[in-house]
Amino acid sequence: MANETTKTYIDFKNVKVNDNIVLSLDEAGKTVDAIKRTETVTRVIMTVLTYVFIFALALIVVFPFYWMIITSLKQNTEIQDSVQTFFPTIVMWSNYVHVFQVFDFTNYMFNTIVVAIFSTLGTLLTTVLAAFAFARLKFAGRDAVFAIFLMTMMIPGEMMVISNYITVASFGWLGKDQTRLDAYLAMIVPFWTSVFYIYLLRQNFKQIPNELYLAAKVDGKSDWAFLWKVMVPLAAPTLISITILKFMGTWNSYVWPNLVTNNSDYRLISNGLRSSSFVDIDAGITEYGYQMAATVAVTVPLFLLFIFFRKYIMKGVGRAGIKG
Amino acid sequence: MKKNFKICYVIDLVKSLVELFAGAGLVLLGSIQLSNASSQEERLPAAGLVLLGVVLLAICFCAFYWLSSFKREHLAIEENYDSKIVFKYGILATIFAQMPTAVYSLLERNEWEKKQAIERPSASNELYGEERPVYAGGYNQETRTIVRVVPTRSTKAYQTRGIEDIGAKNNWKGWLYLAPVIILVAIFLIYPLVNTIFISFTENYKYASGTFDGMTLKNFTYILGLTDKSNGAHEAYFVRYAIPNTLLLVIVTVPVSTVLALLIAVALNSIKWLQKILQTIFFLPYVTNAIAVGMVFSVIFDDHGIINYLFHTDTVWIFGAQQYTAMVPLVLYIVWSSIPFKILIFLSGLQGIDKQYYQAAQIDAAPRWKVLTRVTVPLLSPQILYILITSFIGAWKEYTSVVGLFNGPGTRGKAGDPNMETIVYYIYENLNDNTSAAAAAAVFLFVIILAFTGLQFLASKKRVHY
Repeated sequence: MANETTKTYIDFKNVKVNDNIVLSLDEAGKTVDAIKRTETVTRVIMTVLTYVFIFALALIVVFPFYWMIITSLKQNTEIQDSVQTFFPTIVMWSNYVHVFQVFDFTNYMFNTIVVAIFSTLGTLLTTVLAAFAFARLKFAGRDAVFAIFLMTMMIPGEMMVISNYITVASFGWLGKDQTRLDAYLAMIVPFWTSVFYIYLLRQNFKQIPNELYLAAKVDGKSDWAFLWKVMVPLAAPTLISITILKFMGTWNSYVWPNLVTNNSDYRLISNGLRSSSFVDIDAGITEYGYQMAATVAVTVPLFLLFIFFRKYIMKGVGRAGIKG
Repeated sequence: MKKNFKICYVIDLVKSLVELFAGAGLVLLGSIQLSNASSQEERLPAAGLVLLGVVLLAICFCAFYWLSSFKREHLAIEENYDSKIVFKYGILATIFAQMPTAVYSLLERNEWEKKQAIERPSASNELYGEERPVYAGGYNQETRTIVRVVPTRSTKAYQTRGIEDIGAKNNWKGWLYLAPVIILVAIFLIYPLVNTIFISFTENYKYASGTFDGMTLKNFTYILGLTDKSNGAHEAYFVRYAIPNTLLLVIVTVPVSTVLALLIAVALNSIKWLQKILQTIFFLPYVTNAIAVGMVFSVIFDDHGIINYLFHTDTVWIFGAQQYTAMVPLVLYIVWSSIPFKILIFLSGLQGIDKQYYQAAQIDAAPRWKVLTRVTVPLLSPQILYILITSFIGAWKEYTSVVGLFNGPGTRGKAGDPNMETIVYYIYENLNDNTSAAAAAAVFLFVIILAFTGLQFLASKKRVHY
């Protein structure tokens, strides 16, 4: 020990404080340039690794879409072949022609759009009215009703399906003599209200400054005129988000339309897709090419919606966090 | 400026649409020729046509993409001016076949920028609606202090914000506005809740006639396997398949997808180049039809499918598979379809974290994984908690993924046991013939979800955990 303490400098590489603790500094003895260089190198390596990680996962995310399109353009023998190809050897556009003959796309599309439009309109109307009452008007019992509404958000939808099925049946919308109108009503009316969207819109309405309301009052406007002339235009982004999410929800809805319709002609696009059998009767095997062509036809409209309304969809999802 | 920009935008849009139709037409034409071609000489020009069409389509889609960003940024200028972003998108739009109009809008932007430099609104203008007063003040030599004359609170013009609006007090019209919603909620939300709980305690409820054979607790003991039912063995499937399958999905998919989404979000947040495009790509699984993509997964995992081909296996994954083998594609599909939403939430959380934390960590030379576990994760804990609870609830309600993948409750079609059944699937399967048991299962699910929601409330009351 005596020898070491007489040294003129301390070797920071390995300083012995006592027998138990060893303090060592990794960067001791290195110049600033060397440290900077290692930092740059690590940063470059980390960036490269990050990109590799992200691109690998992005490939996995995109792969099902790629495979869907590629399979839809293949012959069935190629799909079932023991050697899989990543691009069709013969591009079979005729798959699509065949699918549009077999799969009644236009009918399902029409049903879906009718149901989407009317359930969205109903939802928007009830939501705007209720959100306005909760956000702007004051009346006895308002907060109690709002609390009850919020509590209903906890109930899982599956809980309601059983009784709603019975309710809709008692309205005479189900049964053997179900007409197209009955089927539409059964698919639309139960979804005319959404507590979550009311909550969302109420928060949005609350952000609109009080001065506007007071100014409208001074100008002699009624609540009704104020709601439609001021509040609704100001909350347009939220309303657009609600509309798009509702449309996507109808496009995706499967269980309820399946339950409440007797005739497959009245069902929606998801039901049509799942129940259509693309089985070659002679060979007894599923024609995956046709099946995938149908899924492409179902997926593309959603993608178009996404391309044009990306901002509203991502914003709306970020806030709402639910599908449909 | 805004008006001129709108003209640019419409021109661009029309141009892109023309490109879209031209590209699609060329692809169609080329492929028709390609399918009719008999010799190599005929095939080549046809393939060229297809290629040209694809390039046109690609340009048009790029243009669409940039157009949307371009427009957004341009319109955002009015609120929050950032010339760098506008310039960036201006350049990119130029590259992507938007040459003339983009140049035009860039020129327009310069003009506008000059104008803005003169009359740029200050933050106070937006808030208070009037010019911010120039306060008197200066440097006091004697006391060596900076003096600033500030108006007292009482003189502020913007105090009207707190005024009660008297006209709206106890407005009975509020009930009129609420009436449609209250009626609908009562019929389709409150009544079903009560009624389902009631049905779960009845014996042999018949939904068509509304009749039943008295009250009982047996529905719960049947589905939970505490007592055996002599006729109709379907109740047993709840314990045998529905609960284990659902539990497995909850335990596996929630942590896997959350960790994966967190890693992707952190990685996405740390990069600059291509960030927006990658973000959009990772969001794509959200805008799909659940049934359609389920069918795609069942093709991918087919006996002769790409997975077996790539990994040189001949496992039966989907139709005719063992229960736990079939879980693999199901779990993968659920993870695949559930990460977009999580990434979105995590990214917005990450963007809200103060950069100073990372600068402090950098000064301390903290290693990257430590920054992740000690800074990012704790600061992101509200979002992580929210995601965990919503995805737990979602995993308990898994249903459409099973329908999409297996087209039925089991891997062996109608002949075999419903070995892929989940709790919700069980409810829908028994809705018609076994209404009481279905109601009991629904109540079971309700209680579980209620517990998770209660947990959420408790957790959100105790503030964030760092």
